[in-house]
Amino acid sequence: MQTAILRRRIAWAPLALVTALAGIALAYLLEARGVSHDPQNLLLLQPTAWLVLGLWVFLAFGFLRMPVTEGEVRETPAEVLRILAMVGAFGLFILGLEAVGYDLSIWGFTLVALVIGGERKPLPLLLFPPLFMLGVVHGFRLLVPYPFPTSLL
Amino acid sequence: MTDSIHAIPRRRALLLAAGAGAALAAPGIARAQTFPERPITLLVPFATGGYNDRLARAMAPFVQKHIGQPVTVVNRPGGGTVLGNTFYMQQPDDGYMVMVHSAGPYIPLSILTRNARYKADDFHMINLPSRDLTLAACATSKGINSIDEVVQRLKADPRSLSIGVQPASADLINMALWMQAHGIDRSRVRVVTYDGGGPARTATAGGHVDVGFVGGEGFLPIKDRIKPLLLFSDEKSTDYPDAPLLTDHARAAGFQPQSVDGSQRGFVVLKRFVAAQPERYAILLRAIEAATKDPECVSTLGNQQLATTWYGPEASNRAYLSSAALMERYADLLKQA
Amino acid sequence: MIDFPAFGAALNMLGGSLDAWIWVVPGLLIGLLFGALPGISVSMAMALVLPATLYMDFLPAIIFLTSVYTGAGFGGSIPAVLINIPGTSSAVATTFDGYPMAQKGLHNEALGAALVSSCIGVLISYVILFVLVQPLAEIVLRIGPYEMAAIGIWGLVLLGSIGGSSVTKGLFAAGIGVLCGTVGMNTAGYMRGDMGIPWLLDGVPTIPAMVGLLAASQLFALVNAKFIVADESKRTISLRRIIAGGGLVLGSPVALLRGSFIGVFIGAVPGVGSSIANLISYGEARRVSPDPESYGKGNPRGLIAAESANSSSEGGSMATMLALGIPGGGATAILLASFAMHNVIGGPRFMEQNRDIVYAIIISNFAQALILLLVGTAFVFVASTVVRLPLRYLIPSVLVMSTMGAFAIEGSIAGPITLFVFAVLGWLMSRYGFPVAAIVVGLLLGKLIETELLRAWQLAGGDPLYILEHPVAVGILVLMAVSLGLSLRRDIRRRRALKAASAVA
Repeated sequence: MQTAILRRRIAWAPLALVTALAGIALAYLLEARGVSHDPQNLLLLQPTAWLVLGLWVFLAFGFLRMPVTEGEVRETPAEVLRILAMVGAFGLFILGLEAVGYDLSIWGFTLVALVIGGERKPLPLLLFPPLFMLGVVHGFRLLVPYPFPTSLL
Repeated sequence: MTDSIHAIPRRRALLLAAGAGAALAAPGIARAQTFPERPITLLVPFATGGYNDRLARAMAPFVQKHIGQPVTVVNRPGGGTVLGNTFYMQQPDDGYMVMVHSAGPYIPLSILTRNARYKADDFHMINLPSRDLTLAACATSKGINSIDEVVQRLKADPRSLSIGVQPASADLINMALWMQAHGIDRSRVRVVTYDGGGPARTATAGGHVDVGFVGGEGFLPIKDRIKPLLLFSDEKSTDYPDAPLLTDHARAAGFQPQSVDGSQRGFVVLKRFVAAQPERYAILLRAIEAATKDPECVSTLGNQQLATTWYGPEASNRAYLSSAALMERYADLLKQA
Repeated sequence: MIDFPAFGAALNMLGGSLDAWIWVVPGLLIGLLFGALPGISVSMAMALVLPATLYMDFLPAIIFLTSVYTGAGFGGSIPAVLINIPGTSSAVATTFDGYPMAQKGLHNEALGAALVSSCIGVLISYVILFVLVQPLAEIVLRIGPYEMAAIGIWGLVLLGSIGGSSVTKGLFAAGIGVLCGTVGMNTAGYMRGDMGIPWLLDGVPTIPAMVGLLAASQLFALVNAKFIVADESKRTISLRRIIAGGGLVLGSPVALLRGSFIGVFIGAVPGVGSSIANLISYGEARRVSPDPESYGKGNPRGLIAAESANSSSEGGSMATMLALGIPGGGATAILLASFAMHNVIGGPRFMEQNRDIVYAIIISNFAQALILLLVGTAFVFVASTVVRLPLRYLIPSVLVMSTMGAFAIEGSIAGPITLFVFAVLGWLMSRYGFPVAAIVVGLLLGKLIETELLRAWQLAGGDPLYILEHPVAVGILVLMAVSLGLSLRRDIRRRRALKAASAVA
């Protein structure tokens, strides 16, 4: 279990993450206090927000002097880029649902995600996305009592 | 879509020629109409399984029978009906979508407590067959015998009894007005809030709270476990024939009885649509009226404990608007649970 | 408390009617399929088949609907095990050990164990219902805000720091989860954190948020992998191993029984029961285990505890529905609607006058649990082909299906948006060693604890000593303190022993 600590450095990414989350927690607390100081409003919210802010101090301090250990397994930049591409494509897909319709959005996202995932054969790229989209759209139309906008179907 | 756009002026001309009254009455003109030429949608601003959803699904085949087009039900729940109402406001005024809604109290409440951007007046009631009234009740095991006993104990010590109610509801307004009339300081009473009629009833029947103020209809399956103390109404209810009425209670205590209906549910369209498309509105109105009065519909819905009374638009709108006005007047009572 | 003449009449009723039986298998299959689709809830499945029951007789209609209920109760566990998607909020704890088992190539065993614990859970709950329907319903009805708040706090203490690399990170994650759970209009009518978005007033949509945190974030992390199960030789689908997984359950009777009892009593509480029972049962199994470290890494006992609890809550909620006429959730509300469609009004009077029908429903559910064993095995066998699909196809398909599911459960774009936001949050947090499961636990329990604590506070009129009037709640809290003290002492002793051992070495 003993790993040699070579040196300490600032772990920027997790530091930014916890700081952002603690910032949101603080903003939320201030907003809630703006609504009312009544205990019926703040009973659980306020103590929890204080706890989160307190823990942020601990965590941020830890991330400022993160021990760099040997044998740390990290993804290559190319791999990180692929994940980010997938996250981005998924975000665009969600935005596109109402904008261009559920059908087109599903088709487009499935195609892009297949390419990101490493599929290069033209036939599956051509056939799978539209067939999958047809199945999903018709299936959910049958099952779900809510209307959703589509442009082709 | 394009079809209906250039179809409107032609129909307007026809309508002008015939006169509005004649258009409503003359079946000849109705037959000349092409409306409806595609399926009608019933929009329910609640999730599946609730009263409105069941009402819409049960009515659909009968409306279909009388309007001659398939009728489907879609749900658009959320935000205390704000999402469904807002969605409905964005639809074209073509009459192909009708809401089945607990219009009162949800539309006025969403305006007063959720800052919704429409007005109570934007909606037009076709018929509100179902009305649910606030019932003050306690568990039989509590040993509370009458509403006067509740008043007495609360007057002596406002903290002596706990009260269960939904926040931002018609029940809360009724409870608040009732306490005000008796001079009971609401801020000192132990008021416990439940986000839904179901939880509030369970808490009442389970004795978690001493007295519950909640819609009476939902209590029917557990009628044996509760004692109805006061019904917020001016006429006897067939469900609770023994429950004292607010009017009698108020007369005895010497105050003006005031209450709002717990729920007014039924068919709702937009006022905008009624003004723009009177002849289409007339067709919808006739079909819904015929469906509601259809003996088969009456018996089928009756079996499912769904209401089929026909009050018509005039009475329904009057009831809806007066309860909305009352809610607006007492909006400040809603602000604090 | 068993009425034997009525029992005989019930057997006659079931024995003499083919109609009562032919709907069981279709019902179970519909339930399994709908339950396995993320976002299609038990109540939605039942609402969709409800119109079909209008033309059946009363008993076949109820049997058909309860078959869908039973099937869907287990169906939700299949994606929980295979792709870390809790199909319903009652399958959250199922993902904790089920998915790690699948990743290790133990998907056959995990699904087999989940199936058998579900079937036995349903069976036990209906046995309890059969013997104790009235007292059970009375107990459930008495569980008020004090007791629920105590149970919720217990759950948070047991699971608050689950699975993280450090306690600080676990608590931070749980705190974020609790804060997310308080967004919107609370039970007293205060509105905060909604940012002017109408749908946020109802709170953060729970199921899309959970699916985003647990599943979608995991799928992002898998973009560079080829299959869920890394080792190709382990990607087999074997009936023998599914059955062996079922055998594991029989080897852990304590976890099974504890889970089932927690499910019957907590799961039966109207509203939130089964998801809380699922978490508490898992947390308890982990707490009393001699080896809590192995939980969350693929310990079958965690899976068994979680699954037996969520399935046994079915019997509990049937008790409140049959004996009191109170629908605990969407599923029992639809059953009551179906009662009404056949001119039957549920509640105490129905129970007294129609004991034979009630017994027939219960006996049919015994049979359903046994038939589920067979139907479920076949279903699981087919469903586990998922592990053979290459991830480059699985990731987009599951993301799209989850998005549609998130839409289906909310009925608006609110679902997909929530899914995305929490998927990104979950991916980032798990990347930096924060336990995503703790956020989910915080989210689920935070909502419950705030609601119940608030009601407790209102009931007490602000007087903390009022809790003394609720001995059960005090009992739960005392029990919690004692058991935590004991496990803390055990941990300290173990750590001392380790230290002593290493000092000697």
